Amino acid sequence: MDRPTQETVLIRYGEIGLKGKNRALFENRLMANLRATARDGSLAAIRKTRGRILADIAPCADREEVLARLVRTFGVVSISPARVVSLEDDTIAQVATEVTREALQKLPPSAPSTFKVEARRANKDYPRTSPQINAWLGTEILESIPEARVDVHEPAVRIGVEIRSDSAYVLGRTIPGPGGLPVGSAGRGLLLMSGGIDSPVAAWQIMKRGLEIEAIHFHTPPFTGPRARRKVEELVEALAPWGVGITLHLCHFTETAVALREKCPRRLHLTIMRRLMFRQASALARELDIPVLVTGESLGQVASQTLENLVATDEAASVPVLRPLIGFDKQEIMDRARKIGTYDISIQPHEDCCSVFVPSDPKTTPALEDVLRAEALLPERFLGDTAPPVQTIAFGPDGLRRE
Amino acid sequence: MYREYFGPSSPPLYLDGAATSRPHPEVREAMLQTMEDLYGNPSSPHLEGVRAETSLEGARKRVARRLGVDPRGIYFNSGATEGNNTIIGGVARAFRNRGRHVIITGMEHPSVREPCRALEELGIEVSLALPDTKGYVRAETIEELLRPETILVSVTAVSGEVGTIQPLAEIGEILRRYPEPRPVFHSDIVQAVGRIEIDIEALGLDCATISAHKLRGPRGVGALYLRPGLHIPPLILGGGQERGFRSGTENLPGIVGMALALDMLTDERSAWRSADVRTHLAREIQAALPGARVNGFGPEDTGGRSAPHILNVSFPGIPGEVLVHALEELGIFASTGAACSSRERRTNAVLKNMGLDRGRAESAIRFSWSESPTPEEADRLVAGLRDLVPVLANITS
Repeated sequence: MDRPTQETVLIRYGEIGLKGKNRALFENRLMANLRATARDGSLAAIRKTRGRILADIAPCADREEVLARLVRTFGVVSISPARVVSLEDDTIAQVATEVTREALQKLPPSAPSTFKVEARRANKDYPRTSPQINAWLGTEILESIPEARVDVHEPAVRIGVEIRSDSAYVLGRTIPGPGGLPVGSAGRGLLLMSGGIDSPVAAWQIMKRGLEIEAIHFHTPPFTGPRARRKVEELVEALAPWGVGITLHLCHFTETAVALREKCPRRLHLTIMRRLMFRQASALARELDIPVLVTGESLGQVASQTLENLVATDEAASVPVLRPLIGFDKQEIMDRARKIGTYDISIQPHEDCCSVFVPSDPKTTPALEDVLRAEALLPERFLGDTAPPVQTIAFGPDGLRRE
Repeated sequence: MYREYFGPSSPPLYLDGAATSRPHPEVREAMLQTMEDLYGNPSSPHLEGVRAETSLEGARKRVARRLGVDPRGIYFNSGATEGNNTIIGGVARAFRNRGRHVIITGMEHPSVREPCRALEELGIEVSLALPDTKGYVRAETIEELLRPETILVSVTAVSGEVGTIQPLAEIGEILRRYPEPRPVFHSDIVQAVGRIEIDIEALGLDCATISAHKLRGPRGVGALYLRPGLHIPPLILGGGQERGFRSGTENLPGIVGMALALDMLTDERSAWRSADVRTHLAREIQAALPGARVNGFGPEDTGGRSAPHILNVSFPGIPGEVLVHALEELGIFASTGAACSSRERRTNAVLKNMGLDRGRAESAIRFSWSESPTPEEADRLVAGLRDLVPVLANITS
């Protein structure tokens, strides 16, 4: 059946355009990610066209919902919902008017009702030139919407019209996206995830730069309960839709923590515990063929994140450690956590019960030699570099557990 | 010990009956039957409405008979939280011109404490009758707090935290002798019904509140007793159900389930009221772990001072939450009184009011049951504790 108009989305991306020969790889990754975030069957087609991507929304899909998902895909600079129409004058004029009216209505009340038509004529057989199209449609719109005015310099609304060989695109509002690079285009990283506020934000920041994330969480039952574990799962559920899904590895850490408590000097427990976690995470990363660790550390934020402690823990990692939040203030991290939807989960009070394994006065400036000497008191099996046994749960881009 | 995390190997041993109980299979069956057969609205004039109304009034009579009160005093609602709010708020509104003073005990559930805190904001003074270290509130303590302007005395019959039974009869007697106009006497009897002998009228109670889900009935349903002749304004207004005192279409399946659960409880009274399980468990735990301290009345106290289904024990040095999680790995489910997290330390108000120090309060854990544990199950619990406690104490101390 012939439909007069069809819903499509014009997707603009920025930095990818700079990437020279790798550009096709980046574009293909972005398209794959868009398809994954839009979810099954909601895109009828997706294709590249002149430095941009066009995605057709399937007729059965919820348009606004699909737009909302596409616009949070990393790598997207902005999107514009577009309508595809036949090349008849009446149809183009009518749809351009509708799109203008809709865009003007969505403006804040304080904004002036000004618009500009920006035509592009890819199909040179079309009888009007681009300036002629601008003038023609501008007049049509002015006649239909009395309160609208033209402003060619700083219009509140830009109406894009693209004339193609068999159809025209009419574009209204532009919705800004997060920018960045498509998740996965930069490789993979293993996130050390605590359940606090910082690590999910670190994940978000680094996913924005194109890293695909897997996460490892160390839990210490019975000193942490099933609710603490569920909280971590909820954080992963909330983060997964920002990327292409996240795999969570749960590592049972009780035995290690107990040994640490028995063998090592109390004030170094925190430093050594973090070293043991870095070591186990490094081993898991190597086994999974993941080249880097990612943490939510921020310089000086808490006792474990003084420069001395960062140095002491870093020494235990056998793969490089990325710390995307290292220069962030706590307030900046909290604001970002609210924005990405992880804050309310992170503040649920199901933390490590009574901090059994964390001394109240941890050493903030440990000398590395002291730490190494103290750590050597542990039995050999806690210091090996084989990957620990983990329980693995995969979450899809819809945030749901994959069986 | 901490290696068994990935799923308990033994069948669950549910020892959290004071939190909620597993509905009795016959209760489930009766509720299903009611949903299928009696779907009419009891207020409707047609036959289906009349059938539903007949069932509703039948349930009211059964509940009244089990509680030993006049059916005209029974109002169905959503549970004891609603009941306590209705009574505390209602008495304050009805009698605030007569006086602005209320007495509650230090052993009350939050659904009594919090409405009273709200009254304080309205300028009504609330006195707290403090218990002794066993959680027992002496009748004289209440007597000393009484004043001519006291409009409400609310005393929970059995503490949900430690099981201590309060002297309702003595308090009722004091109030009976008190010059008119006497304060309204209320009791939250959620943890008492079916567990101890409780005769509402003989105790001199003007009102009482219960929840069905603590009695192997369904959640979201309860009953409030209000002595006929005593008038307080309703909390929930609307279509005028429950003789105008509690609007909202009646939850007939829940009400039928509650009536049946009460019937079965009271029929199984002998098993229920046996304090043997509690005494046995307390003795065994103390024998196995000399550091363990029973909170509330222990086996050494003379009988009849504690409800038979709640045993609260502190294992000093081990945060209650840790022991609860450790037991969970063995498939044993108990609960903590005092929740504890590294972010904030919330000490249980009841244990604090009993004068227990913080260490003892934070290491308290509560075993409670709606179906008495078998001797084998009791042994399983004791064996679990015997294995866990020394190891955990070694780690956490």
